[in-house]
Amino acid sequence: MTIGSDRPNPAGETPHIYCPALHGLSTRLADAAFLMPRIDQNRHVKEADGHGHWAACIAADPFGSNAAYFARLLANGYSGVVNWPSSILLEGQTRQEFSTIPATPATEYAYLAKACDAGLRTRAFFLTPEQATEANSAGLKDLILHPGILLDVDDAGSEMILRALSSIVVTVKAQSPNVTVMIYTSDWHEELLQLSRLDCDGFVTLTGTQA
Amino acid sequence: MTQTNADFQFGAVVGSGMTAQAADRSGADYLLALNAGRFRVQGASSLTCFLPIRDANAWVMEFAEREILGRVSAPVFAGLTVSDPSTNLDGLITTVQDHGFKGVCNFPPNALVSGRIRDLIEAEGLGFSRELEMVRRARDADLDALVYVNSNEQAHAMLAAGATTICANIGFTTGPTGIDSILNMRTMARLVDEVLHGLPSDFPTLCAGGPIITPEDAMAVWRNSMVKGYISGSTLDRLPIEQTLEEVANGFRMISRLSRHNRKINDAGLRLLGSSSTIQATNRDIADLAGETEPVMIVGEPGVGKSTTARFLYSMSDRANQRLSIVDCAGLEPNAGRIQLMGSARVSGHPSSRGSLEDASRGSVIFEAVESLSSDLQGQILRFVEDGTIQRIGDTDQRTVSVRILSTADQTVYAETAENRFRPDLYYKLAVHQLVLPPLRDRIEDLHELVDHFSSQYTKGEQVRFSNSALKMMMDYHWPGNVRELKNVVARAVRKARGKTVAQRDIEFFELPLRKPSQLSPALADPVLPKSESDWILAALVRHGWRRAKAAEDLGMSPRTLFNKIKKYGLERF
Repeated sequence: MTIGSDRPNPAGETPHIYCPALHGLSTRLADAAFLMPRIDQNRHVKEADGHGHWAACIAADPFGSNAAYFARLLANGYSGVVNWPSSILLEGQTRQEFSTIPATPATEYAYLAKACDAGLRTRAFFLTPEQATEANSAGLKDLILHPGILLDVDDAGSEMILRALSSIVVTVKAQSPNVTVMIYTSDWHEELLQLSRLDCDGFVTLTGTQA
Repeated sequence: MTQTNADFQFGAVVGSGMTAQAADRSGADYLLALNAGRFRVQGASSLTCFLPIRDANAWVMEFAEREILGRVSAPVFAGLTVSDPSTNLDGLITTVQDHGFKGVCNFPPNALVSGRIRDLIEAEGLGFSRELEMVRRARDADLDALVYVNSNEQAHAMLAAGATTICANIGFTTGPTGIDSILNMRTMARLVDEVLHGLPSDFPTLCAGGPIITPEDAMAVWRNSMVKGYISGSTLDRLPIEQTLEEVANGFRMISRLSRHNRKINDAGLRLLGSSSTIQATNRDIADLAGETEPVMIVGEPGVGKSTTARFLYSMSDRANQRLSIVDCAGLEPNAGRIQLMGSARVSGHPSSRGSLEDASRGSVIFEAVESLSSDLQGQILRFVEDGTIQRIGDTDQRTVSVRILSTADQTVYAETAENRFRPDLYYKLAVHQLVLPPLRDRIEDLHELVDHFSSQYTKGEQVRFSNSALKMMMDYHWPGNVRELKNVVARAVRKARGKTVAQRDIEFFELPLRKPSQLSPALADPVLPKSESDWILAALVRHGWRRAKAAEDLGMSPRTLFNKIKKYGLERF
């Protein structure tokens, strides 16, 4: 599975997640897209043809009706929805402040659950086992583990991160055996961490960006 | 540190033409067209300004051009984000110039983000360093730069870059926005001074965000720091509008609580004003009792209109053309009272005199506050009621007197009778018929009619309009002093309004400590716990989520008074 700002390709065989908010961002900066007010993500997604691919949606968008939005995605040919860009990467005071909107992992998972009820498939981005549990509690079975914001990672650090990610996958699957866990990656991530070494249910690869 | 300069600079974040023009008319020194303001006027949170929900820069240009620029006299600054790597700074500055903005503003500032996302944006050169670069280029293009900072280091860097006004931003506005904070105004003032420390004393400085909700809050920070002004965001364009909308909406909602004027009833000559079913039933009782000759006792809380009703019964009776004698039982001394009631025989040097009862012969007598009679006088009146005779003090003759007896009593008469402080035999003699008048709170739907009646009395017939929000405030009050209190409140309100529509602020209640226990917080309703004014205010603040305007409204005091009391009792949010 891929994710990027490229519009869904009608001939594309690999499932693709259309995420226009990533347009023009570096691979690393893509992780900050949630706090970059440069585009109306949901409108761009809604107005594009899905061609059976997936839509990346901002669950915290305060405007419009979820039901109408999901119906429009289905009508435009999308098959599924993910919560990206996401609040899962927020930290500290910012995380607390955004919880008042509310823009939290829990609200994103509730949003995906509604999308599921509307007939769309879903995959939920998560960062921590707690978030995975929240997603699972919302009825979401297909998850995408994000490796987190990586700053100044050296070799020792990358090994530690790999072990931590592996542990998260094992923990989440142990808690809910029927859950599938994919891992978010990119060429840059592969060079830094070699995430493809991890045992999981697949990868969501960022495309169209440069390191 | 106490502020000594008198000039207070006021900047207003505006998200629509309406808020911009209102702020401009009120004399704002700066107008800031920010995407956060636009989100707020559309009902979203300020924090939405960070999300990829709109292209912030294009949106600001669009709504400012369409609704604000060229329509206001205050300088307008464009809130611009530079976190998009595809943004061409020179092109952005040119667009700002072409639109006619006075200058630029770094918004939303990356400094308000915490954690690794902030570090990531900074590491990519799209955070504060790029905001500095935007300021430099704006200044090169002869634009002003009003900038947000949240550290002293940032403040000095912006000064060096050429910023023309620096605003210490202490986070997003707390309280009603849902964002919690432990900051109080003194802490806010200290933080602002720390951020602005070392800037030239004549340099324009402002502050924003944090716990400041009201103009009083801004003044408190201004007086306790060296900052020269304040930028109002949600405190200007959302909170007051929400409050006003709520007030107006409440005004509409309360219409259903008012009874329609029933002209048929009131034009029939009955004087207990009101169209509620309660008062209509009372008026029917009055009409029925008017023709009776048996004693009538009128019972009710203070101020419900007992004396008025007694006079009315008299005026409608067959004896209306005969004498009416009114006896204020509470004012009767035991000895002098006997003479006042029964009269006195001639004694040396003093002619005989008739008492109130004899005076009212063939007419009516009203015993007001009959429950206040001393036991001696109760006996005197009982004898009179039983056999219809009186004996002047010092006389031996019995005189037959035909009088219709009306009496009024407050509700303590029941307890007084039950405990024999008021003679039961007298009670049953006086209360052959009983008329219980309802308190105003039980017929609150009559309030509007009563208000119209009383206000026209004070304006010599000229109609005074009461706003629905003022009426709602009055309807929500429990009126311990009943119609008498209402009359006083109307008198004060009409005077305060000076011929204009009476607004909520014109309504003053002077009996707040008597609020019904059910309307107080559990802590205050508990008679065991202390009921100090500070407890009372604290409970209201908690009840209204520390929204002072709402708490002040609830407490029936002005926001200014509440602010002073909060300071006095140290109730700033702890």
